Formats: sequence, C-alpha cells, structure tokens
Amino acid sequence: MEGATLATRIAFAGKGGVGKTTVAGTVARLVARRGHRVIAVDGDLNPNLAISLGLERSQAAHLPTVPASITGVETSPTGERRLVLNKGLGQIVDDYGTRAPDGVDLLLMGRPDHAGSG
Amino acid sequence: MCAEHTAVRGLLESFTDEEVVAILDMGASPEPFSRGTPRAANAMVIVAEPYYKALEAAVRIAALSKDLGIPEVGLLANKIRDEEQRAAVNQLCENNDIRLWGVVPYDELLARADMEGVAPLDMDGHESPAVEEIKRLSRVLVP
Repeated sequence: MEGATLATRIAFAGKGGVGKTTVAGTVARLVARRGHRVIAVDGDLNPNLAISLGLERSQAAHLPTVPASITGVETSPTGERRLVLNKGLGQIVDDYGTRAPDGVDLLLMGRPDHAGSG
Repeated sequence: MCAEHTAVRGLLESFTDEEVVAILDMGASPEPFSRGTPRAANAMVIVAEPYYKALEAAVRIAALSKDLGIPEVGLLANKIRDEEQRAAVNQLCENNDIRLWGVVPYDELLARADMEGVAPLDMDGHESPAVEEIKRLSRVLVP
C-alpha cells in the first residue's frame, strides 16, 4: 500500500466468532489514539462493536440506531439512479452516533425489528 | 434487510474525506456481499481462525471482495497457537493469492476480555502479544 491514509474505509468480515469485532474495535481505538478522526459502523446483526470499543455493557444495550431512511435514491436528468444520503455524515453522527473511548464515534445500524433507540 | 444493506452501503460511500477513517464491522452473513454493500471499502480485513470452516469462508469472502473491486483485500489470522497453524494459514494465502495482513497469536487476555464484555485495551496487562499485532495491523492500514 502506498501513500498515507490510503485505507480510509476499512471493512472487517469473517465467519461468526473468529474475533473480527474485537479486532475492528481495537483497531478503531488505536487509530483514533494517533489523532485520526474515526467513525466505527456496526453493520452486524449481533451489535457487539460497542463492547469491543469499550462502552459499558449497560450503555451498549440501549444505543440509538441509524435508520434505513438516511439513504434515498436520486434520479438524474438522464434517468440514472444513484444512492444518496438524505443528510450529511456529520449530521448523522450528531443525530445517531455514540461517543466511545478515545474519541471514536460509533454508528449502530438499525435492525429490521427495531423502530429506533432501545 | 434490504434497506439496512442500502443504508450501510450509502454510509460507506459517503466517507470521501480522507481525514476521516471509517471502520465497518460487517458481521458473518455473506448477504452484504451479494448486495454490494462493502463496495466502497478501500481495504478489506477478513478475520479467520485456523480451522477449515473459517478459512474456507475467508477464501470465499476474499473472492467476493475482489469481485466488488475492493483494492486491498487480505486475511488476518486470529487465535494462532503454534507454527503448524501459522504454516497452514501461510499456505492458504499462497494457494489463493490472498495477502496476509497479519497473524494474531492466541492470547488469554483477549479471551478474558471477550468473556467479561470488556474491550481488550481496557484490560489490565493489555500490552499483550495479540494487542501488539493488532497495533501493527492498524499502522499498516492507516500509516
């Protein structure tokens, strides 16, 4: 990899139980400790990233979630459809984010059976 | 789940400011890949333990990630206990042309952190071999 901060959008994947959430949360905090602005997005059905980031279990059980309505589809004059956010990233973090240790902001994506915050 | 995948995809695509680092925890389901959810990622870290099912899933995820055009795709071996397991992971990466981001040794500290529901960095004695390897990974990903 060349250049500084080439990886600005890092995804963690893998079979359940292998430790990806633990690694993702730890990497998030370590990068934040070096002064970078880090936003952690939990797209997992089992929302454990909060714990791996160091949030208290009691808090982690009642976090606000990002609703699916943040995205919409825009059609250009030529008929091309593209995905757009309905509000800015900063606003999304302000409205639905949770501040975690080392200044990491956590966005917990909404689940189908949750109407909003717990 | 369609709307949620779209929201994750849209959100990831919105991280265009190189001053901000987005870290996405994708979960175990292969569904996001068929929907192109992580398409906007510029690095994919596939975590795998050294047993068949996890390694086989990792190879599949690597192929799906490359199909989506994610530029830096690699495997992070986790909970590695011995040289035999390390060699197996190296061989898998070589056979499948997958880069190896790193090898995290099995570490009691991470196992205890998991059990207690505490972040590894908040455990006493967190300067463990596993945490040191994750620290090295974080510097490779974000120099």
